[in-house]
Amino acid sequence: MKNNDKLLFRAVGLYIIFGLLLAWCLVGKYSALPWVEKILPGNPHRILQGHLDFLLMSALILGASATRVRLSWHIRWSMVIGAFTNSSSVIVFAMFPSADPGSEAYISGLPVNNMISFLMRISFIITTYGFGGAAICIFLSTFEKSKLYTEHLKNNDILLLRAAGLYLIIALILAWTLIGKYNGMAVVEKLLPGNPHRILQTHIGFLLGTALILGIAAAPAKIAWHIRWALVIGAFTNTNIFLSFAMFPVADPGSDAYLSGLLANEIFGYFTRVSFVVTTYGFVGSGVSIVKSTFSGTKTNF
Amino acid sequence: MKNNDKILLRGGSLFVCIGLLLAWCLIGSYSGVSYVKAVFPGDPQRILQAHLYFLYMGALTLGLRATELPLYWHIKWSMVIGAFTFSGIFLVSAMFPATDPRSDLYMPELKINDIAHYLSRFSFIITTYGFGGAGISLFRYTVSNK
Repeated sequence: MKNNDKLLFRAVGLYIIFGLLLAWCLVGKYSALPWVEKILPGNPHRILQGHLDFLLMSALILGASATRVRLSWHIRWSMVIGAFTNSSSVIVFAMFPSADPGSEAYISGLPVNNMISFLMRISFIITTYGFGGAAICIFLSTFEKSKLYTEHLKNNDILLLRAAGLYLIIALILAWTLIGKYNGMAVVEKLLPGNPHRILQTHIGFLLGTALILGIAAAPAKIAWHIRWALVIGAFTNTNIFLSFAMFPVADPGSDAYLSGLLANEIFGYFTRVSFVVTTYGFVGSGVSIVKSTFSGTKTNF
Repeated sequence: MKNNDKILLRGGSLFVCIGLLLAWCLIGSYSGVSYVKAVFPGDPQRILQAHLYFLYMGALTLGLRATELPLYWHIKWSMVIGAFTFSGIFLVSAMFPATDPRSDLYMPELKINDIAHYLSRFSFIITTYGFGGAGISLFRYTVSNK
């Protein structure tokens, strides 16, 4: 077991179980089971969010652990604590609808709500420190001059790990941008006047992209350079489509401000199609390379 | 290749490929492409859910594979079968809106819906056994390897 692994593995083991437990709670909630209804009287969407957050955080921690980059104890602990508090904060909303700002039962000004809001900010800071620190370490580990440089990097790793590190940092910046948007920060409002849901989509897209890239990078398969580049470019451009919608609501087909027939929107439409093709080539190419590597005697086998 | 690798690598990679395929189906559905609409006449939101779940499960399966943990064959198979069937439930809802409880076309009196209901519960159990088993194995591994 590597030095990173014990704490991270233990946490992931628990988080996967929490994620599954929440899936069952969601089934119980939709089936109107009285004891689930009693424990979680709030919006079922919050349970779904908690379930997905636990799974995504688990995939990210597993991916970060698989890089074999040496992470300091405080970064590892921050990842583990942040992942737990961040994912479970939405469960608090499901348990106490009066604390959920998205609920009709929300009571603003309650001291306990102010405290929850304050604790959530601390949780965001811890999560950012943990995952941001891990992202920087993963990024630096690909440079030979860095102290964190890992000599066992396979040919896949350098580009993929660099991209994963950067995407994780971008995702965290977007999380803070989203908080700024919800709090009506003027700079954020000016830069991203569109639907905040689009920022959320970009944030989740980057997190999911990072988890997938780290999982693919850890697979014992040789992936051709053009597939690796397609993977990295596709994940970046595809996710940024949502950010473009947040920046320019006139380009967002889901927005009331959408202007159909604009030349810029037509060009953007073609750009998104190209991005989808590149993403498909990258991810499907990687998937096929990994599957091929499981058969002996193929070129993608290490 | 380690003992876990084959089934989890094949499963995880296939989930990623299916996730991407569904992204294209989603585009087709939103663009009103006739053959996509013919295959998926239901709510496009269901295709989106299936797309996301396949990617989530792909990331988790590949991540768990990367731990190189010796997992029992039945846990590995349950992970792969569970991830596929669990994500596939949303696809069935998109393909047959009469089985989708959130759709206006939902027909609760249909016998096939009872079967679909039990199958989805069965899929939840397999997924829980697979991923829950992997979670417990991961936790136990850190305790037994001091």
